[in-house]
Amino acid sequence: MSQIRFEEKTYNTDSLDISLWKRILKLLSSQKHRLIRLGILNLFIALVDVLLPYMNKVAIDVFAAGRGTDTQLVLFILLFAGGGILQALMVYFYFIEAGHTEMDMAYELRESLFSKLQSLSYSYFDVTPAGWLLSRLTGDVTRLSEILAWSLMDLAWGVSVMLGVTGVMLVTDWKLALLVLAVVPLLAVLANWFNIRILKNYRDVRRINSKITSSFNEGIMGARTTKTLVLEDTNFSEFKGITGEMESASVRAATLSSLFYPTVMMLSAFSLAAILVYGGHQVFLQVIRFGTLMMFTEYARKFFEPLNQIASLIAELQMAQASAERVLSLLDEQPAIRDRQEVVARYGTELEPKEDAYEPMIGKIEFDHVSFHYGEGEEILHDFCLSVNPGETVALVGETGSGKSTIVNLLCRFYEPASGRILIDGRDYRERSIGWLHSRIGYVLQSPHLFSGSIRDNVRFGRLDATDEEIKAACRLVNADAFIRQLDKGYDTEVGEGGGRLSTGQKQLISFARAVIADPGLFILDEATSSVDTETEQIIQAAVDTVMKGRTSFIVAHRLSTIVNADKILVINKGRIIEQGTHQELMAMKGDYYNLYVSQFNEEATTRILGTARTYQIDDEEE
Amino acid sequence: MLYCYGMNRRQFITKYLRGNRWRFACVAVFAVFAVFLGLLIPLIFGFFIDYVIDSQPLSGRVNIMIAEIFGGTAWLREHLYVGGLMIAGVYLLQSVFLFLRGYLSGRMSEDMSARIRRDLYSHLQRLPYEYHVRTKTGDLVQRCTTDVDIIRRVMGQQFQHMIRSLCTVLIACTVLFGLHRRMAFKAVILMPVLFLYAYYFYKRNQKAFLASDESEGRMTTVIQENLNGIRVIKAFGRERYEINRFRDYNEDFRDRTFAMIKLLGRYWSSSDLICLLQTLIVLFAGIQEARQGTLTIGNFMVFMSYESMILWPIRQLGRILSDIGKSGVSIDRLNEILNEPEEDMTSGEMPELSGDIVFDHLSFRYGEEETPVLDDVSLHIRPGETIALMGPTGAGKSTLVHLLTRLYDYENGSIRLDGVELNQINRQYLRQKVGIVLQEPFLFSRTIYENIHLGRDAGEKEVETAASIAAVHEVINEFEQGYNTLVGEKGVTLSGGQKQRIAIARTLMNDSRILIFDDSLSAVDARTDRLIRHALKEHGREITTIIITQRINSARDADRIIVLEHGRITQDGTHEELIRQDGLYRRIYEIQSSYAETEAEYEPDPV
Repeated sequence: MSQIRFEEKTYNTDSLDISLWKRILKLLSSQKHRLIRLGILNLFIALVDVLLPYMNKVAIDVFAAGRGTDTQLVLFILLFAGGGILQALMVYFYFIEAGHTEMDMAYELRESLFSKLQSLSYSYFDVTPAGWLLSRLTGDVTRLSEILAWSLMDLAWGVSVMLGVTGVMLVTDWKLALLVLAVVPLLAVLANWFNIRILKNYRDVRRINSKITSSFNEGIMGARTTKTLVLEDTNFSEFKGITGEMESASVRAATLSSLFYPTVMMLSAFSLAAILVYGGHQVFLQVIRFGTLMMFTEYARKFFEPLNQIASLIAELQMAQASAERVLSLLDEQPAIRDRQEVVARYGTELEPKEDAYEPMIGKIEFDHVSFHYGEGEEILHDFCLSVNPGETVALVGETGSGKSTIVNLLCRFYEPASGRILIDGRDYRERSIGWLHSRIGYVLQSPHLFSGSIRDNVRFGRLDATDEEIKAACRLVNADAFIRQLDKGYDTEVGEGGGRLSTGQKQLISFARAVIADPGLFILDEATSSVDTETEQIIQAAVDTVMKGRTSFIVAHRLSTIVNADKILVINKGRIIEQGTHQELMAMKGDYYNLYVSQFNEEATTRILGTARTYQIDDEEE
Repeated sequence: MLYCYGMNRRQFITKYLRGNRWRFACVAVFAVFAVFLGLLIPLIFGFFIDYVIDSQPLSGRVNIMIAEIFGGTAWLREHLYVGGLMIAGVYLLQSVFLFLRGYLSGRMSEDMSARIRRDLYSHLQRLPYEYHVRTKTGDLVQRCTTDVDIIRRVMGQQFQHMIRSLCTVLIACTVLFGLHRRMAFKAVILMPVLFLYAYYFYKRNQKAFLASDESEGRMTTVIQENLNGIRVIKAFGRERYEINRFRDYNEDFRDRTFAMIKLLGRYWSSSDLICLLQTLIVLFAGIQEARQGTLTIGNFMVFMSYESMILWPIRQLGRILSDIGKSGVSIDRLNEILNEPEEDMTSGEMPELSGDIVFDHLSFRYGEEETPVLDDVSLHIRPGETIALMGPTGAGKSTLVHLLTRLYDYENGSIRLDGVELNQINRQYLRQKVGIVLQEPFLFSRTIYENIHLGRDAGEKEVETAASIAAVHEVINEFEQGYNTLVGEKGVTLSGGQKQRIAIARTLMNDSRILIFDDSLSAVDARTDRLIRHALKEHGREITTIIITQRINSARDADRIIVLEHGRITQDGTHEELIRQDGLYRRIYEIQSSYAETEAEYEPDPV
C-alpha cells in the first residue's frame, strides 16, 4: 500500500492574490493581440451603447420638435442605421474573438498540462489520484478560460458603460449628473456589504453541494451493503440532515440575492425621482429640453444595470483564481527523476529524443549494492546485489511487500536507487537517458492496459513505424493472430475503452505482441494474478516463452507454474534474496520456495474443481 | 405490497409542487405585479412631461382622473416633487414584489429540490438488490445531481423569467396599443420575427452544444486512459506519441466548441441588428407623428422606453424555452428511477427466531433465465448449527444465502424460519436477525469506528468486542489514529482482508440469530480465518452460522458440510463422513490436505 497519502491542498478563495493574477495574465500572453482587439471592440460596443440614448435625445429634441431639415433627418437615420450595422458587426467579432481567446487558451493549457503529465515521473502518479488530475485538465481549465475570456470582458464592458454614461451626463448637465450620481457612495457601501455575504453563501452552498454528491455516490455504491445491514433509515436521516443544510444555505443565498437587486433598484429610484423633479423643473425653465430628460432616465438605468451582475462576477473571478491555483501548481510540478544535463545534451529529452545517439542494449544487468525506500517510508530494498547475464531469465518470487515489484520499478527507472547503482551493459543507467532505457524495454503488465483504438493501433504502440506485415508477424508469434482473424474486423477491431471489449486473455496476448514488436533488449513481465482458463494460459505461456527467448527477462511471478524454466529464481523477503537457484534446485531445498509452490499448486488444483471464484487475490500486490 | 407509481412529467411536477402551490402562485402574481409597476414608471414620466411640464390639455379618462386626484396639473406643476415621490413609491413597491418573487421562488425551488433529492436517496436505498446489480453508479449519481440541478434552476429562475418576459410583452403591447394604435403596430412589427428567430436559434444551438459535449466526452476518455495507462506509456517511452494523439482530441473539442460560440455570435449580432432596426422604426415613425402633432413627446418617450424593455426579454425567451425543454428530459430521467418499484420493508410478520431454517423443495431462477440456479433444494438447519457450504462457482451458494435475507424472492418451493414462511416475514426485521457479510464488502468513507458502529444503539465497548471477534481490533490499534482512522480516499487504504474483517465486525453488531459469511474470509489468511471462526463460536453458541468457503480448513470444523453442485445438494455430512465418501469434497480434501503442513508458514495477509 502506498505510504505517502495524497493530500489536497486547500486553496484560498477569499481574497484576490495579486502575484497569482500576474501569473494568470502571463498565461494569457499568447492571446495578447486578441485581448487588445477584444478590449477595443469592447470599448466601441460600450460607446455605441452610451451614444444610443443620445441619438434618442436628438430625435426628440430636434426632429420630433419639428426642427432640422429633411436632409438632416435622412442623415440622422443613416447614421443610426450605420451605427446599428456597425454594432452588430462588432458584437459578432466580439464573440469570435472571445471565443477564440477562450478556446485557444483552453487548448494551450490542456496541451501544456498534458505534456507536463507525460514528463512527470512515475512516482507522481503513484501518489496522485487520476481523478484529481483529470479534473485539473477538464473542469479547471474550462472554468478558467471561460471566465478569463468572458467574465473579465463583461466586467470591462460594465465599467466602460458606467464611465461613458457618467462622462456624457457630466458634459450635458453636470448638476443633474451629480444628482443622479449622488447615491453612488451609499451604493458602494451596500454593494460591498452584500457582496461579502453573497460570496460567503456561494461558498457554503458549493461546499454542501459536494457533500450531497458524495452522499449519493456512497448511498448508491453501498446500497447492497445498506440492505444487508438494514441501514436505510440511519443513512436516510443523515442524508436528510445534509439536504436540510443545503436547503437553508441555498435559501439564505437566494434571500440575499433577491434583496440585493431591489436594493440597487431603490437607489436608482432616487436618481430617477431626482431627474423628474429637478430635470422637470429645468425643462419648465427651458434650461434643458425633454430629450435631455429622457436621455438622463435612460442613462440612470444603464448606469445601475451592470451593478446587478457584479456579485456573480466577483464569485466567478474567485472561482477562476482557485482553478488557476490548481492548474499552476500542476504546471509547476517537476519530475522527480530527470536526466543530468550532459545526458540530455547527448540523448535528448523524452519528448525530443536524439534517437541516433541511442546505443543497442546487450542485456547485462547488475544491481550494485542498491538500497531503496519510497518517500519517507521504510527501507524496502537493502544493499541489494544481483548480476544477470544477457539472455538470462530471472524470476522474482515473494510475498506482498517483499520488494519484488520494487526491483522492477527500479529497473524501469520509475524510481531511482537511494544508494548504490544499477548497471546496464556495464554502465550506470543514469549515464544514459530515460528515453533510451524505455525504448529498449519491453514491458507487459499484470493487468494489461490497452488504449481505445484498433488492435492494430495497440500493437503498433510498441513500435510506431511498424508495418502492417510486422504487426501481423508479431501477433502470429504470440499466437494472437488466430483470434484476431476471427473477429469481424480483424486487426481493425476497436478494443473499446481500456480494451474493455476483449477478454483478459486476449488483452494479454495483444500486450505481448505490443512488447514483441518493440524488439526490446530487456523484457519485463509483471505477471497477471487474475486467472484465465487453462487453454488460454497455455497460449499465454507459449507467448511468454517466445518473447523471452534470447532476451534478458525479468518476471514478477505470481503463478509459480509459469517460471519453472527460468534460469534464476530469486525468492525475495524483506528486500533481500533469501533463496536463489533454478526450480529444481529450490524444490530440492524444501525451503520457502518449496512451501510456496506446494500451496499454490493446491490452490490452483482447487480452483480447477471449484471454478474461478470471484475471490480477491489474497492481499494483492501494490507497493 | 409494492408501491407502483408510474409518474409522468406532469405528475412529477404536481407531486413536488405540493405544499408549494401558494408559493408558486405568489411568484407568478408578484412577477406580474413587478412587471406592471416597472412599466408604470415610463407612464408617470410621460404624464408629467406632457401634462405637467409641457402643459398640454388633458386627454384620456385615466389622465384626467389622475390630475383630479392631485387637484389639477397646475398644482402638480407647483409641487413637482410629488412626481418624484410617485416614482420612488412605485419603485419601492416594485422592490418589495421583486424581493418576494425572488425569495419565494428560492424557497420553492430549494424545497422542491431538497424533497426530490430525499426521495431519490431514500428510494434508491429501497430499490431491490437486483436493481443495484444491473445499474451503473456513475449514471445514477449523475441523474441525482445534474438533473436535479437543472430542474431546480428552471423552477427557481427560468420560471419567473418566463413569466416576466411574457408579461412584459403582453402588458407593454396592451398599453402601447391603448396609447397610439398606429404607432403600436409599427412598434411590434419585427417582434414575431425576433421571437421565431430566437426559438429557431436555440433549437439549432442544441445540436452544436451536443456536438461539443460529446467531443468533450471523447477528450476526457483519452485523458483518463492516458492516466490509467501511464505505466505502459512510460515503459514504452510513448510520451510524445500520446501528446500527439491527445492533440487531435483537444483540437476537435476546441473547434466544435468554437463552432457553437460562433453560432451564438451570429445570433446575438443579428438579433442586435433586428432590435436596432425595430428601434429605428419606432424612432422614425415617432418623429413623423410628433411632427404632425399626432403624438405627444411624453408618449413618444413611453414608446421608446417600452421598446427597450420588450426587446431584451424576447431575445431571451428562446433560451428559456429550450432550458425548460431540457428540464423535461431531466424529469423523465428521474422518473425512470422513481418509477422503479420499491422493496416493501415494513409489512409482514415478525416472529421470534431461534435460527431454525428449513428449505423445502426450493427452486429459483433469475428473471427470465432458462436454467434454474437452485433446483429442488431441501435442507434443515437446526438452531446453533454451523454449516459450511461448498461448491463450484455458479452452483448457487450465494443465491441460496441471498434468498435467506430476502434480497431476492423465491416462487417455487418454500423456506421456513421457525416454521414461518420466509416470504411472510418483514424484511427489515428479517435482515436485522439474519446477518450476511458480502464477499466484496463496501465500506463507507467514514472512520473505522463509524463503519462498525453505523449509527446503532451501541457503545465503544461493543464496537471493540465486535472488532476483536473479527480479529481486526489489533490491526486498527496499529493505525496512527486507531478507530478514528478514516477509511477510503481521504484516509487509509485497507487491504482486501482488512475490509472483510471490518465488514464482519459491523455485521456482528446486529443482534443476529443467523450469520452468513458469503465467502467473506477469502482474502484473509488461513490462521486469521481460524481465529475468527473460533472467536465466533465463543461469541454465540446459539447463533446459526453458514459459511461459504473454498477451504477445507474453514469447512472441517463445521457441524455439517453441504456441497452444492449445479443448484442441487450433492453431499451433506460432517468432515469425517464426507472424506469417506466419493465426491467433490474428498477431491478437494486430498488436494488441500497435502498443503496443511505448510499452511502455518505461508501467511499472505500478515496481521
